Amino acid sequence: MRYRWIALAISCLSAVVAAGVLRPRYGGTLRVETSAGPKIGATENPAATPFAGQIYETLVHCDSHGEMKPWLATAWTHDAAMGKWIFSARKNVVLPNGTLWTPGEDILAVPDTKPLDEILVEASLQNKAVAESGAFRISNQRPGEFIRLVANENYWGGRPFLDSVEIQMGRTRHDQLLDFELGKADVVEAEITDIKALKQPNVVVQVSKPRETIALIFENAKISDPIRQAVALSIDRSSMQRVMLDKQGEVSGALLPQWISGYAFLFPTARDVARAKDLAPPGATLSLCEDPRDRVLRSLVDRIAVDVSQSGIAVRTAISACDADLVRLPIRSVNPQQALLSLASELRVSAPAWGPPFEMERELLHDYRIVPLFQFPFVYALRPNVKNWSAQGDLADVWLEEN
Amino acid sequence: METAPRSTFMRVVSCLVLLLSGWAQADQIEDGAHALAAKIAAHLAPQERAHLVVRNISGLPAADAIRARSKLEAALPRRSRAKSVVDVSVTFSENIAGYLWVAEIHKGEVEMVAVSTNTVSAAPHRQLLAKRLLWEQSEPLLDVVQQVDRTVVLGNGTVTIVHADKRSDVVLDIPRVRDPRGRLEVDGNTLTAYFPGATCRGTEEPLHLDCGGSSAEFLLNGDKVRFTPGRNTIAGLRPGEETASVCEGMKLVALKEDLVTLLDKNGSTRDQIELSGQITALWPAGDGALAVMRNPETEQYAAYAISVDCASH
Amino acid sequence: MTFRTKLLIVSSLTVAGAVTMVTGGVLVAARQIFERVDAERQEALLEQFRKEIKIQGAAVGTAIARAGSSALLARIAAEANRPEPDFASFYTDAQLLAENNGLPFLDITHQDLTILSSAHWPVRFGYKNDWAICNACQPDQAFLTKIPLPDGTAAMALAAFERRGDLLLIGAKRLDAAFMQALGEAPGVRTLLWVGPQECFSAEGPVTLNAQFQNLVQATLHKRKISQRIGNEAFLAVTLQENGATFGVLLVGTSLQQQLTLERSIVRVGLWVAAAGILLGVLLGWWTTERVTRPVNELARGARAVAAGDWNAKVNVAAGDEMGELANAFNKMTSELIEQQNRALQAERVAAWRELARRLAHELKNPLFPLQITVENMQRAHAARKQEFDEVFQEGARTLLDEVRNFKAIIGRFSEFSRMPAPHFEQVNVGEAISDAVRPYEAQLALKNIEVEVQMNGTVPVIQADSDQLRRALGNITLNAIDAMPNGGSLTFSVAALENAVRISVTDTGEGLTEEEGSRLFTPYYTTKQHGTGLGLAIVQGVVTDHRGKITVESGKGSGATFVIELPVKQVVAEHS
Repeated sequence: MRYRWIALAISCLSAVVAAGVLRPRYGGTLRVETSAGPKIGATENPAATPFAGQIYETLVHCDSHGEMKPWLATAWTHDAAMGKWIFSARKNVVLPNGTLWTPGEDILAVPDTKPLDEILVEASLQNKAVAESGAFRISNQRPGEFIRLVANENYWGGRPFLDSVEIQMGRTRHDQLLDFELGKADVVEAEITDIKALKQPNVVVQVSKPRETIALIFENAKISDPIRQAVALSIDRSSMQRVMLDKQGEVSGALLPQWISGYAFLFPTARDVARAKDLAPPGATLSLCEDPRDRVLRSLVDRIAVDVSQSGIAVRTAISACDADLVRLPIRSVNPQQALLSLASELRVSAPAWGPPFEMERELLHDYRIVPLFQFPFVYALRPNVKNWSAQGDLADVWLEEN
Repeated sequence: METAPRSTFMRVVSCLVLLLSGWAQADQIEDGAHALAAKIAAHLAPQERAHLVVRNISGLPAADAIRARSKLEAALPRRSRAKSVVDVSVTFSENIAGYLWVAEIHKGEVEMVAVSTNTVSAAPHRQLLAKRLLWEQSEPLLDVVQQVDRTVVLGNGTVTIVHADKRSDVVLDIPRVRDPRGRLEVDGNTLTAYFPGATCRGTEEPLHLDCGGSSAEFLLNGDKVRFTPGRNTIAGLRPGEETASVCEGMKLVALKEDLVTLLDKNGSTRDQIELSGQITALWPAGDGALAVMRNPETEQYAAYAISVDCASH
Repeated sequence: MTFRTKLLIVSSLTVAGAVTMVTGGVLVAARQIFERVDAERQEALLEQFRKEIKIQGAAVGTAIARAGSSALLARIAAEANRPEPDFASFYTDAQLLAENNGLPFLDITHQDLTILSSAHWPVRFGYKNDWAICNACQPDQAFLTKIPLPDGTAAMALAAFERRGDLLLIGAKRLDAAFMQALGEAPGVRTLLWVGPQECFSAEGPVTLNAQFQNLVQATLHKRKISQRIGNEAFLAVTLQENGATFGVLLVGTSLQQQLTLERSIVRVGLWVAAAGILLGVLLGWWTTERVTRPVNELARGARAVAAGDWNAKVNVAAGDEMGELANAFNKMTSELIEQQNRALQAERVAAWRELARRLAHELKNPLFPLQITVENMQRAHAARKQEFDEVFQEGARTLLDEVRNFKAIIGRFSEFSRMPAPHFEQVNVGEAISDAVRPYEAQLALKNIEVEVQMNGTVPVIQADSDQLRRALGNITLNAIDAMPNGGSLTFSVAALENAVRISVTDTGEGLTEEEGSRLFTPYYTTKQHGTGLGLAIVQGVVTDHRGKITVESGKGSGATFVIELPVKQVVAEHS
């Protein structure tokens, strides 16, 4: 068995030597599976909807460094009176009906009342000037289940390498892994606890920077402040990360990962059971929601229940109707402010006032209704022939090596 | 009433964002240290003196971190007669935009934080043997021709000519492709740029090129080839066959993303040169080759002249 | 209630009682037998449980020893002994080890019981194992314990441990439905294992105990062993203990269905026997009473005839048994009674004549003495002083005439008593009769300063009576009262209606009577007074008797006397005639 793997590795290496690795290849269909189930349409915000940015574009977008980059706008400047931001529209943008994109003046002029960052973020969030001008076009869609994209031959940024992309949506990670092993998918999402198991010769495991916050959200407003604080102090994040998560992901007390914010370490993560015991009122109870489909979160919830019970709080787990829920919060943007506003929107809490990211984040976390625990990376299992895959889901640059 | 994440302290955080680009400069560290020191000093009473505890959790080089600390200490007010000492924890952190310096100021039961960002240098590139950096830019770089007095740079739809004292640019009207490719030929004052689906011809003086809507042929290792319109392939060549023939029978190839490999006639590896990024182009150039690479960390494109000492082989 | 009815009831009760006693005895005996058998079966199952515990404990010990010698545990031990062990590397190893060795519960811990890896509760790593509580146990000994579960409940289990270097391997098998099935319950026997308020199971699976069972369990936890019947089952409940700690309660129940069926059969048969016995008893009783009550009825009829005054009544019973003897005795008794009555009557007559003679002698002697004196005075006057003779003669003659009248009065009263006629019944108002009776004596009553009061209590019916005789009787009582109250007093007539009768109470406030006087009061010619014939109250009694009434007197010496007369409202003329 071992010799077979060695032989296979040698043959793969030979193929690499023969084919070279320099140039991306055009053509092919990429089969992707994801747990997300977005409805992709012109009315959705392409910046906040997975894969939507491949079809729809706005004036600007936030690149992987958190910087605003031209998209449908090529440049922007103040007007003469310093009262508006004027965007320059990109030329030669061809819409699906073959016509050129010609935006109106109202779209290209934005009142200059706020900092540029905020205006651009708002422009992106408010779905201004959305055009179906992306690198791909929708060929077939069953909202929330399946979407087939085909390459936009006339894309202003150059034709994408792939001819088409087939995306199965709403798949559990378990099902995704099964499909991957059966050869039904080229790219699937994986749990961070599967990284070791996935490291096999015919599988490329791609681990992104932390892009997903795992947080305990108190849904029940009746849970008092001391109990929430006691719960936050009871949780042994580092043990969970070290053992249960196999040292993957990052322990965090912040909503935004350190690589985005740079200040995540300011939010404490240390456990203090003695203080939690002092805070927890006698007879305090807490019910934690457990998602039976998410085995990683389920085991984390079980451990949280054990940890919190050390503070004298009677904890039980339930499927629904509980006081607190452990959730995954994808970080939609690398712009800290935009990411925080998106999180506030997703959690249906009042959005913090625009300001320094730390202040905004502190405002979101000050009452312990949101207790961040970890930052998870996106983990993808790829077939070896899938090249240039990015966690941001920029499909236009992905290409398939010829087998 | 505690409102801060840390239980027994109130924290005040303010941010100073200094976005800087380019190489590490002493004045940038100094500026950052001064800005942070000013913020720390604002939280100190006249009779208080700051005691710094510094840690570096960023990619800031150790030498820079030591220098930043000394600058910071120097910039803080010296109060020899101070009655009390205030502990200040300074963390050299970083985020997606650059370095972020954070100060946590402990003052009795009140803890205050001042935050400053400062982008210093990335780590210096390693200079490898047998490679020489010709040009670097943030925009895609397709080909570079090094002349005695000037460097002619072919970008994605641009031609730049850099002399010792001046620089000229021209934008070419060519179709965009996903993986831009281009080949530049310089013959005296004549410039020819080959692109997938377009060919531009013109002069250096004055710098002007006219582009046509077809891919013209050019020479590659003695063979006439042309780019495939709308694609990144070269008609007549399979991917991986783009090599530079050197030293009578040997050739330079890119077998791995960041390695230029010298193969002998038998296909055996004779030498390797590592580049700090993904090789995007490898063109024959003189007795050696020109390698273009993209550094994924800096997202900078760089062109290296790969020289081969044929005599040694 | 007739003798026959009583006899039937007694015979039925006797039969039923006998059958009940027999049935009860059989039931008790059967129950004792069943209880003994049930107790033996329960003890046998309990013994089987203990054996199974040993067998399963040995199996757990073997499994844990096997796990302890596995290469996987050696790897874990090696990793755990490194300066900075990778805890994640054995996070799921306990599950693997448990699966390979068939142990549902398995903890891999440090010497200090800090969990490195847990099969059944993986997230408890880092915390102390709290169910390996058998300090005295050796590695090859299994022990009972209670294992906390993630859902807050606990599982009772058989545990054993193995030591490998610095590591402890603690494994356990749950005492669950499968374990209970292994006990091999006999038909009609079932076992329940109570582990906690929320956890109890039988061989079929989880069981929810009702309040009765919960009470039994709680009582058992205090007393360790209790037998109790719940529903149609008899339960033996014993605590399961290890090193002094109680881990649960085992309830062995045997079905009482067979016993109940038998008991029901016995009761059913008993009922049938009782019913048949009662029916037979009734028939026999009927026949018996028919034979017994006929002479008794004859005797009763004879007795009633005697009571009615037919002293010649005879009972004709032609039986040679006790009843015949009784009838003969009755007939003999009536004959003797007649004879004795005649003798008594004769004696009474003699006594009466004697009394009459005495009374006559007394009564006649009194007037004779003045007659004698008067005649002697007339003789002496005539002889000595002729001039005074006329005066003496006149006086003497007047005295003689008075005494002669006195003689006539005495003779008249005797004559009246002897000539008392049969009453002539008519409708009489009692109140008016009292008024009529008192009226002739009003002057005397006034003279003696006696107040008369008549009280009519309620509605007093009109009675059938001879108004003249009734007036005379009441008059005699009034006269008697006047004599009893020489210094005045009160005389009260109180009339009240009884059921089919009227009661007349006459109360005076005179001297009263002694007991002896009271008993002889109505005897003819008996009187307590210094004068009088003694016929007054005898006449009263005679009138009352002729009216089928009765008269009594209530008195004490010095406390007055009350004559109580009860007279029927209606008279039976035929009988009276």
